[in-house]
Amino acid sequence: MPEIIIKNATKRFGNVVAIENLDIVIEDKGFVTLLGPSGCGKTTTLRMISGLESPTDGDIYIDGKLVFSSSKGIDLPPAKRNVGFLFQNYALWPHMTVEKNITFGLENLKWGKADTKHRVDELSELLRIEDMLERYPNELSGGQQQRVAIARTLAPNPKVLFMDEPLSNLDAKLRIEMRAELKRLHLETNSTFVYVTHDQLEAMTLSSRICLMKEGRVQQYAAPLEIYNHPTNCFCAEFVGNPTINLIDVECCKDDPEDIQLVSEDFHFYFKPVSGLPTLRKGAKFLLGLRPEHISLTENGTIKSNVYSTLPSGMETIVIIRIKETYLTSVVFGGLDFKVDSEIGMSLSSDNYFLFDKSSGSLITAGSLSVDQKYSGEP
Amino acid sequence: MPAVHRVKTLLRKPENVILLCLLIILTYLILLPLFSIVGDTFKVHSSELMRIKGSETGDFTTYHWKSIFIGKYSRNIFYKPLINTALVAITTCFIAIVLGGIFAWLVTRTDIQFKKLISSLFILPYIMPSWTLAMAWLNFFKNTYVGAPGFFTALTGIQTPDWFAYGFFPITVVLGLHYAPFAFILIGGILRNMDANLEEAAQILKAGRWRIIRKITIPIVLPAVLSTILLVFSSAMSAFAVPAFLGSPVRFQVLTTQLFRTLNGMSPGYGFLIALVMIVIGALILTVNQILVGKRKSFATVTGKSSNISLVNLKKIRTPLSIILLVFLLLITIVPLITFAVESFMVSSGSLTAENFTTMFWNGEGRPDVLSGEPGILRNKYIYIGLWNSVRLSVLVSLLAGSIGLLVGYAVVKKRGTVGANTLDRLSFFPYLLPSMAFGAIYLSMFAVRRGFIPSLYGTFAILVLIGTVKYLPFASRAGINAIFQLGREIEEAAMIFGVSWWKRMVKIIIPIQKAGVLSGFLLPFISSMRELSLYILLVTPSTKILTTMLFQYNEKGWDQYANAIILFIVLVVISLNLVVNKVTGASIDKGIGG
Repeated sequence: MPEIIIKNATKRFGNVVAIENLDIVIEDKGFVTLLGPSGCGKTTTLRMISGLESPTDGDIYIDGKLVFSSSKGIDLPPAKRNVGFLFQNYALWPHMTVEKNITFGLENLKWGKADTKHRVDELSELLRIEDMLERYPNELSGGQQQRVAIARTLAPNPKVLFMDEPLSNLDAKLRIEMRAELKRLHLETNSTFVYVTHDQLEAMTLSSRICLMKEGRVQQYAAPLEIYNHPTNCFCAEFVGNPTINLIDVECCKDDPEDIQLVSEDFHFYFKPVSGLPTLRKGAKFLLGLRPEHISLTENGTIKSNVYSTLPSGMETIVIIRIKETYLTSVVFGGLDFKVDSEIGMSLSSDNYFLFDKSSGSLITAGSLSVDQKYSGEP
Repeated sequence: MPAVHRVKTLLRKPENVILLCLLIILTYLILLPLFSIVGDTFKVHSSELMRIKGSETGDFTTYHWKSIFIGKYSRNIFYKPLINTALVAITTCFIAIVLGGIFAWLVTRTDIQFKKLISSLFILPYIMPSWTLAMAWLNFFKNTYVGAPGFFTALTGIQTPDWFAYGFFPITVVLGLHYAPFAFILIGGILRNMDANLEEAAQILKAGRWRIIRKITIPIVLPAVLSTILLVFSSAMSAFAVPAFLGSPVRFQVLTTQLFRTLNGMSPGYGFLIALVMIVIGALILTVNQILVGKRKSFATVTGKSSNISLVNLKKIRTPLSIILLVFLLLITIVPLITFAVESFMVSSGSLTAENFTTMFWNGEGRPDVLSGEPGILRNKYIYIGLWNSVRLSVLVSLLAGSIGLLVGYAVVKKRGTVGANTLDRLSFFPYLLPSMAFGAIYLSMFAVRRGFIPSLYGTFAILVLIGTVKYLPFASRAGINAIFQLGREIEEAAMIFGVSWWKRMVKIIIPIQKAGVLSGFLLPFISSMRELSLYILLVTPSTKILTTMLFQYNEKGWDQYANAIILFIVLVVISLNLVVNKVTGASIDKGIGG
């Protein structure tokens, strides 16, 4: 079972800490995405697992085998780890034809002629590159190069496949197409995929689990919807989801667990936790997180707001509303549009609004909200 | 009259005017002389009247062609020097590529120590004039065959054999060392910019270290290596000073030395023909290079992020190897300079006793019994004239070539893809492939007489400026094209929208932003001209002497002390200037193309 275990891995470049105490288990046949803003250490993590980079500290197991251990002095080269790696810029060898690119790895494994031929046929059919085998990489389009790179990586049947932002060099339409292809490929090849991206949508749509990283540390390691619906902190809530979650600065003005009251510059909120009774200190500062789809706009909404700007896309419309000095983003499904500067009612009917600690960013609890009429209204 | 309007609209754009003017001027200065030299090979010259019986100066004759290619003496006049040239060029290529390639690989791909120092020392032989090492070789290894022995014999008492001291062997070693940095820069650049993922991909697919080098690294570097080979080949072929210094004691002739002899002697017709042959070879090399670069699997995109390339661990040999490389580099860079200094203080070389040392070659008034009473360098007015001429020439060449190069860059980039731009691009690069001495011969032939409104220029300072400018235009135009190209068109267009005039756009926007690139377009011609010998040697007259040609004369007369003092001086000027400009602007000669 090619399960990958990373224990306490740390990587320093000189004085700069790229990865700090990384601890994750990537389950067999999973499709795990390393997600995060640029410079968060996701590519370094991938390169450490594949053996292209050596961690400063820690242990790495692939398929039960210890491939790196700083304490035992073990550091297997990439060739001994039985992995495949798909590079961001494909790294196709420009002086070899497509076929040569694909067979190079098989030659290294001393495959016979017949087997090699069979494998090339199989892969070129799977990836629809049959007509290009005699061409050179610079004679192919970006999408074609991408598929050749995948074929080259898959050729020796690696049980673990690493991908470093493989779709980032493609145009938007092709990217969506290739996303679906990759997901199918994952099922067909029956192998473990580890995927690096900074595109949250790609991570959400592809993965079985997302490892969300920031500044070399894991922020949350969970299934995509779990991260979306139950982020562990403010960073996760903000990074995942498009349009971005609304965050409002609030201060606790009544700390009775049964009757929590929060004030912002323009609002007075009553917060009711879905479960448990958190203890909040009066005067403490928090961030209130409201997903755009949890802000409903209706004619008879209780809170009066003004339409500041609208972005209709056919299937949904993103509306930015203004209430006094607070701007909120809302999503309305269906082909609706609103007149800019017109008045519209708003209501908060979900029970999954997040309350984050302002200084640490960590999630306190989720709950439902109601707004005091006295403070809202008059925009 | 729509046609007239069209022309008017075209000429309203500065880039079109510049393109047109440059095409006309460069055609006149580069292409036309080629025809002139062909004519000269069919002409009877005044000094040849004795041999070509019954002819008058200027008559049509096939005498030169016949005697060079099929005549009784063709073997000695032409074929032997040709073969020598080919052998020297091939061996030089081999030495330069192997040495430069190994150094480049060590510096970019291993954990060798002193990388910075090694890189900057390795570039030095290329920044210094090529004959620096030739002179140093003579200082060290000359034997009593031509007079006083060198340091080696003086210190060890061992007489160096002729083959070691003069001729083919030292010529190829010296030229190889001189062009190795060129290979180092080009191959190193490719290795540094080559996407490390290309090698890592092979590593993941279980290819061994050696197989990766053989199957991935070398094939990808190969086109650059081939280009380097061709450029080194053509440079080595046109080298004059090194074979002149090291070959003449044993009468080892190559095409350039033969060209110099015949043009300065009694048979200029031969000389022009030899020059023509060299030009044809140069043009062939350009064509081959173009074909290679334009091949199907060209390597336009081998660059990428290569920040975290894993370096080869040299383990035990790391420190010894680092030290060996460093010592070797010191031997070919700093030690030669020391020999120049020491030699310039010695009455007769080869004797290291105290009374043999003197400062008279520097500040003496000149004694009638030593070297015809020539005063010491610091008191010698001819040296000062030569120095003044050298500096004046190089400054003018640099200003002219640099400005024209910038204009070429502007016109080529702005009109990218048009026939005019491509023609100008190639035309401005062409002088690079003309062997310097052959180019000198061309101008000698072209401007010896009045041409249209241009009077006869032979013997004037202007012809030196003209040829220097044209010869070094390739450096300047490459720098100009790069500078303008990197800038992108939007920057200038943003100013155009506001109605800023062309002149102001150049002076206030383009040049300030790209000052490092623009400056290297001025710097390269200056330094190259400062150390140039073979380009000017056919064209100088006693009143227009420059330092390098004086050095050559002193050397021919055997006045080694003066020659050594001058070479030391030129080298120091060139290196310190390079250093200063490098520090101030980041531009540097070693970033340019070879020469």
